Amino acid sequence: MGSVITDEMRAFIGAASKPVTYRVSHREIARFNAAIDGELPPVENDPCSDSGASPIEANPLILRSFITAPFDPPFPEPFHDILDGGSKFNFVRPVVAGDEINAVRTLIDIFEKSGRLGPMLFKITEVTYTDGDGNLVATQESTTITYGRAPGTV
Amino acid sequence: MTTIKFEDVEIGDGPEPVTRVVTPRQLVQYAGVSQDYTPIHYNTAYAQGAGHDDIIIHGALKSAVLSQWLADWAGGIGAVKRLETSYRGIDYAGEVTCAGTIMDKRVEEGVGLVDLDIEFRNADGVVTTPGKATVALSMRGD
Repeated sequence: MGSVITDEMRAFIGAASKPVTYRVSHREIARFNAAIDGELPPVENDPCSDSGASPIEANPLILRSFITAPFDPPFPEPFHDILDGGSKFNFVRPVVAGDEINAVRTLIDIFEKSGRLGPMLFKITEVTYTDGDGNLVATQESTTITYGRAPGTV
Repeated sequence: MTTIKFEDVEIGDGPEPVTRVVTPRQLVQYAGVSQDYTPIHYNTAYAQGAGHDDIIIHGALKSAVLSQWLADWAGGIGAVKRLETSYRGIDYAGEVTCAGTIMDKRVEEGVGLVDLDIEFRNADGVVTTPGKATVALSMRGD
């Protein structure tokens, strides 16, 4: 079987997504932290960010919920099924209620392997998260694996 | 709560391993808050069609559980400076364990940092997610 990687796919290396901006609420952080602890979210008043209360800190993986925009034009994905291969995070500071977070993803590399699930395409991307002042909050390098069924067949 | 101090840990030490249960409800909850709606995490038939035995734990949820475990040890979420995880094995809902060992310690710009090898184990004790982390610990006199 030939390579699943095409010249069209290689041309996406270095491409960046358009920024997406998220404004982070106390309630969103409380719900995220509860999900990590396996608890139900608290029932409480949602304090305003200017209430003077100490802002609640989010589990750092809340950054993964700040979904980046798809590449435009879209990456020519050959497979439907998807797995998360892992991540490397560097955290500059915690995300707190009241933050504005901008997320941009850049495709760093692509390669392929074959395993128990058949041919697999690996995409290495880096996401930069910056705040409303343009200061870096965190970076994430992640490995996304696609395999199996063709898009549109499921 | 007693906060562990940088001066009180040595290479070879580490946080106490913690075992907990990840439930199917938690996977649904995490899908909602993370916006990762891939059905292999909550739809058994779909997961089996994708080659798995059952619904599987989100990789990022494993990272989040590891980061919370480190933060609880170090005394705050802001203490976790770096987290690397490699999802080499599939985890199904059920009992999981976080564990880790300090591999190095140093002071940078007045901050006490420890580097750890960390791991996420399934109920059979198999390491499905090895990783590395750097955590800041408070120092005496802080």
